[in-house]
Amino acid sequence: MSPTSTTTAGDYVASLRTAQQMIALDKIRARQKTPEPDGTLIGVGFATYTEQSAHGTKVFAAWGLPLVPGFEQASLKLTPDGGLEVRAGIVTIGQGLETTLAQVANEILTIPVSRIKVKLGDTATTPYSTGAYASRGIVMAGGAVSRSAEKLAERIKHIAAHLMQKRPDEVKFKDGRIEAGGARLDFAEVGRAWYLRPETLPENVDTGGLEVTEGYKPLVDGGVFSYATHAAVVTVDPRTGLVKILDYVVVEDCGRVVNPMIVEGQTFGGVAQGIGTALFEESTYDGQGQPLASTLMDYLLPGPTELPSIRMAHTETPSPYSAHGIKGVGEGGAIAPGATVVNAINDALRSLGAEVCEIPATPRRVLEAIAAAQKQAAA
Amino acid sequence: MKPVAFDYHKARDVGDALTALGAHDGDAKPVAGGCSLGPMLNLRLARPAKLIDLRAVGELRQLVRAPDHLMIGACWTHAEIEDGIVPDVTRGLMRQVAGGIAYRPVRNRGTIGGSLAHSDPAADWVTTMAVLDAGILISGRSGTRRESALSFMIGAYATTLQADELVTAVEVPVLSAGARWAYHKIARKTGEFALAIGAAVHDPARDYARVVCGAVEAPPLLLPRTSEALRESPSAAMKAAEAEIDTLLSAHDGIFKQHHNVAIERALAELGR
Ligand SMILES: Cc1cc2nc3c(=O)[nH]c(=O)nc-3n(C[C@H](O)[C@H](O)[C@H](O)COP(=O)(O)OP(=O)(O)OC[C@H]3O[C@@H](n4cnc5c(N)ncnc54)[C@H](O)[C@@H]3O)c2cc1C
Repeated sequence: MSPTSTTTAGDYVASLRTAQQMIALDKIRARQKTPEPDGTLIGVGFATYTEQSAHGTKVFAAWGLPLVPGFEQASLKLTPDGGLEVRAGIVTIGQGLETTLAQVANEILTIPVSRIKVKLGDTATTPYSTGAYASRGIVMAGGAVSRSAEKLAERIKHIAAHLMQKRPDEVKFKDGRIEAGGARLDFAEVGRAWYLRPETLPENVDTGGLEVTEGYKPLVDGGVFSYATHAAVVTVDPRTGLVKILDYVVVEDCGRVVNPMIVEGQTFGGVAQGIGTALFEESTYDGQGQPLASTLMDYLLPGPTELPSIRMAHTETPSPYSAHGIKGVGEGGAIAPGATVVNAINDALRSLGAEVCEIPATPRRVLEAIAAAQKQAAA
Repeated sequence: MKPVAFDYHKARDVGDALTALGAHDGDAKPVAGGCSLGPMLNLRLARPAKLIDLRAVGELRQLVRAPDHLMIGACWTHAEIEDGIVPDVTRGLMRQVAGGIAYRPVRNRGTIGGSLAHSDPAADWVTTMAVLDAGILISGRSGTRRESALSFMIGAYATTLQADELVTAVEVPVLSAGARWAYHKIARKTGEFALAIGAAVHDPARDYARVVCGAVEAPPLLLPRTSEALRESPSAAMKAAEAEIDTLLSAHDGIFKQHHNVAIERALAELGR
């Protein structure tokens, strides 16, 4: 993939360079020249990836999947007290969509996030959605909220202009209030006009009122591409095969960042999961097909002491295809740790001529790789 | 997955617990911290008709100091040992071991008696009691007996304990002022059971030297030659260890042996420091 193609808009080389600097590659290379006092081996590894997010209709149809996502919808309603209700069919599983969708609505209407009520994933009250997957939440539902907010904005402006005796194109939203040429109005006054004082509405008012449902999908169905570089420094104990992660950095680009804290939270969680994949998690079976990892005693997950403090940097390359240039970020963090950590392990094992080619890189696999290299050297 | 239905009895004293254990044709089971039994109940690997709760039994919380040993009641928890609430007569060995068992919530509930009765071959007290040559005190309706830690455990999850008997206490030898010990646990992550354990105690004043290899899918493995060599020096023991482990663990593959070799080697290196 050419990094300059619009599908994968972004500067991948710069991403790798930044990761190199953050992990201090020079220092690691210098440190590798002298043996570690405890006999462990140090290694550094990098991995860069793109994450296809919010890919949709044509892609899923071509795959022949039973379920093909179309337009994502959101309903927005200005309430009589000047608050906003956002309803979307997408579900939240802890990824913070309540906050980010409110932020998208706030971006257009300026109604404070504290006055926006977000209701998600309820088949009785929210529009239909195929759900949360493919890192599509903020791109698809965010786009739908944005579209609906724009349409609602037009209707509010039309009513507000009439109430303020101004032209609709003079009306602006600022800090949760409505302004036009020095005149000011609260959103609540527009709500009051529509719901309680319809006699004050303009003659040609949009009879759809202050509730709007709009659908959205990006300009392309192929997805918008987030990308990142991960880098890790590990120690490998060549006697036990145990791996410890000393340092971990992420340089990520998910287009326009709606909420940095949520982007970081999603990425931290993803990296933790990815480190599980890299070093611990495995469903094993015995020769008779009996599962050997049927409880969390046997199916190991990384805990706080196995996870490094992850350092993160952000670049922002907006997508040309999505509303506000947003790209998905939900799953990305988990993509690279397998490659990053195993690259670091193999860098550490380089002096022994050994290479681990399978994840999770368990102590046994690391020791087997070392033994295989020794055998080959002896032959 | 939840347990099959069971009755619950809170034992008042050891006699009451033993009566209750005997009454159910071996179908009753004692419970202490429940850290091992709880998961087994939930997975229905254990289906006792009745649980006899030992935690309110004062006799199982005794601490009796004799000149050469400390008797520790079976219901003292890992956390109480870790925190030094139970006096450590092993010059820090037991406190270190306790702190390396599982996570604090498990240590808060899990008991030394429960751990030994359960006899997971990778469990830490199993190997620690073996390297110290501790005694296990057992009560049944027909009386009490004492077994050495090494003879008490006869296989993975198997001991000489009868279904109607209780572990009441352990007798831990008092280490002399000049005694040295080392305990090296290799585990995949914090709080995990060991892949391998190397444990060594050298107490010249008591003419005692013992090296034990733990987590061998069987009772702790005493290394007699290595132990003998330890009387001379840790480095002499190190020389003897590899061949001895290779022979005694010959049924296992190279990586299994390597982990145990490294655990012993590192324990002995620590002893020599
Ligand atoms: C997540 C996790 C991690 C762990 N990691 C480790 C580890 O790293 N190292 C380690 O050594 N252990 C580890 N353990 C095991 C833990 O230490 C044991 O669960 C605990 O010691 C068992 O004691 P208990 O009091 O909870 O026993 P229980 O679960 O109550 O009982 C265990 C068994 O012993 C019997 N029993 C209990 N008390 C007596 C008695 N006085 N007399 C006769 N029989 C009795 C019960 O009937 C049952 O069969 C771990 C456990 C968990 C859940």
